[in-house]
Amino acid sequence: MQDLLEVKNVTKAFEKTLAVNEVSLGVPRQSIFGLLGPNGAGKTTLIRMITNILVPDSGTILLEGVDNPQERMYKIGYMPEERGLYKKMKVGEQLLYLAQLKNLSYRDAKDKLDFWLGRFDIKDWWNKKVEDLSKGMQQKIQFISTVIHEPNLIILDEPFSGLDPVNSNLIRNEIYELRERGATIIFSTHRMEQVEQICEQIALIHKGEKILDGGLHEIKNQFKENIFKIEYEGVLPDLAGIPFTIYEQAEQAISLQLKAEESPNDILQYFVDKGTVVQSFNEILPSINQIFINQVGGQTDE
Amino acid sequence: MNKIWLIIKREYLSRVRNKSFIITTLLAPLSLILLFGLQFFILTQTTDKKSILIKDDSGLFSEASGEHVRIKLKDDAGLFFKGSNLDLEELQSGYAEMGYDGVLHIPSVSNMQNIPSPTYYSDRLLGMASRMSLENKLENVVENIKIEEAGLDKNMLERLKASITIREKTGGEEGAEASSLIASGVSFILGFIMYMSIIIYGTLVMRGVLEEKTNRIVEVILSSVKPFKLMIGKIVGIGAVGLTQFVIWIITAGLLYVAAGFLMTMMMDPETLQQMANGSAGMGGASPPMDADEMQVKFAQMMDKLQSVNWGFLAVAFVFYYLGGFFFYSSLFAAVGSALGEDSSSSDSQALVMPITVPVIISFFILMAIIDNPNGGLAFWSSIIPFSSPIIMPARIAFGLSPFSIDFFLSVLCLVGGFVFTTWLAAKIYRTGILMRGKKVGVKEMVKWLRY
Repeated sequence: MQDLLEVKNVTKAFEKTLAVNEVSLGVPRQSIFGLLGPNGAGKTTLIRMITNILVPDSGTILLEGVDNPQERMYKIGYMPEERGLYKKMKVGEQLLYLAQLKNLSYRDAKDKLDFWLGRFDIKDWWNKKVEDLSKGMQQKIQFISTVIHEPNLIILDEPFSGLDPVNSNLIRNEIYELRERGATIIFSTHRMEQVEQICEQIALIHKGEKILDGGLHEIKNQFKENIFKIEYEGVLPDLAGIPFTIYEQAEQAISLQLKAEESPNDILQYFVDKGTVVQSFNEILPSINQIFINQVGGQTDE
Repeated sequence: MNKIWLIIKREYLSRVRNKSFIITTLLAPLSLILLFGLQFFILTQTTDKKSILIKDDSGLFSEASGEHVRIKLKDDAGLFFKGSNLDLEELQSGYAEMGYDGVLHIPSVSNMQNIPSPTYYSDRLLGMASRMSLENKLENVVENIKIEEAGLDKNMLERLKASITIREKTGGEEGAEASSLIASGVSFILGFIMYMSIIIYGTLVMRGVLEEKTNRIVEVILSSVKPFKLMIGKIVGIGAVGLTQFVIWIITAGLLYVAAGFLMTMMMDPETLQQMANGSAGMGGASPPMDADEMQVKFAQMMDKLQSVNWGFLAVAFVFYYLGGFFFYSSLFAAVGSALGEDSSSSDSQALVMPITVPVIISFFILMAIIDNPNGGLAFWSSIIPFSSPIIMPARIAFGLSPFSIDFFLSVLCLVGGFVFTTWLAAKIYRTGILMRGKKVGVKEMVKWLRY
């Protein structure tokens, strides 16, 4: 199936700095896509080009196979890292205004707004000014403004920064819910551990260039180092003369690294033969953070 | 297009529904009236009372009567004279104790054709009005003496005097009769309103842009509309707020004018007038009955003078120049707003706003200068150049410039071209500046953005 969003050889320079350099990406339909990279890697610039806030110097961006920047704006919901609303405007008016800017008719906007305010159980906020709401409340309003026009593609830049655990969970559940209903989500962050929990597909960006992309599991498998972890009861046999490389040793656990020609069964066989009581046996896949650090040679701009 | 409309609507409604709009709409004309009233009051009240001792060595302005010296100058509301034959030194040191404001010493005169300057001794200056009045009085006395010496008949001379006032006609085909006084007043008031509105509404545009930027909402909006639309929507919306205010003022002024006209026709009718006079006399008691004829004539004269200005054309032109000037300047204000940030100090913003406000202020000074000469070279050029034409051109129109003149045509053309240019320029700066964060921006930087 064709990817929902295709970014092809996109480049953007500010004066002499290449913010985004020949980046190509494919975001599959109904996926949760992680756009990863440290601060200053070019994620925001790339997103701004996808949302048509900036125009690429070269390259094309296709949504549903079409290169139409104006149409694209109406089909994307974007929540920037720096959140913002008109402080003096009332909640209802503000959301209606933002929804209409996304090409919704007044009537549609009103219906959708009723739905969302009902869903979050905040219908009585209609006439409240944004400046009178707490930060968490404002985040909800911001989220509604992002998804009210039922975009095909939802782009969330650091969506969990500054959220308390309750709202964080709420937004996470909404993300899954929206995906179920057919939306595709791009999730940009520099916090790699969040990605592993949520994303299926990722792309790593560093200094304006894409380092790697693909399915989360494929990438992890691609970069696995054949490390297996055994948890055991009792004592280990004498480790002198063990035919495997010891990677790490902990209390009641040991991690071993296999050579390419060896199989995980060889490890199990060895310990079973020695009479060790094995409680669990797992392959240890590298974290995205490790992969990233390996790829860029440990240098980030943070 | 329909997105721009949405933005205009929001910018407009969020301001018009605001209490401060209603308050300024009501208060601005009142404060203007107050300002001019105060100026008038101060101008008429400056001649305070002065008592002056006169030491007349020439004998031309006084005559001795016994021990006293009688001064030939007439006292009036502001000046009071007293002659003295004490020594000048004594008077100089003692006038204050004697209860006077100063001493005027007139030296002896040997040649009537060349009268030496009298000297006024005081610790305070005479002031413009008193000095002119005093000089006048002295001149009159000398003139009378000369007339007598020449053996002329004073009554005859009085009859020889003629009084001629010039009536000015300008405006070509319309042949409108312009009264310079009315035109000057109108020019000044319109120029003042234009000057204030360009600065006030321009600043409002700048603050609105800055608010969106520091609010961070701008990124959300820019993912729906192009920056140019957002900027234009804001400028038009705020411009419409100003226009609403003017329309309210113009309609009110029009209603007052009609009401005044209605009042006059009522006065034309002698019976009504008599009734009114009786009524006021009856009610007020102390107020003297009005002189109906005199009032009627004066009123008719005033209305006639008011009609000398082509009000319809002036109103249309004023609205046009307001819009043109507002677009011209406010797009520059928008560009500056986009370049500022929440951490910009007031001196940073001052440095960027100054180059915009200075031409507006200079234009206002030019206006003062051209009121004396509304058709000179300065007036011509300043009414063509779009930096100053919004303030200068309405003044020239008040002085009777025809709508069909080449000056007006050129000026309109230049202003339209001017605001198209500044809007284009501002849009380029705006679209880069509005997304820029945490960077100190100078004019140099903004020029660089033009090439992005």
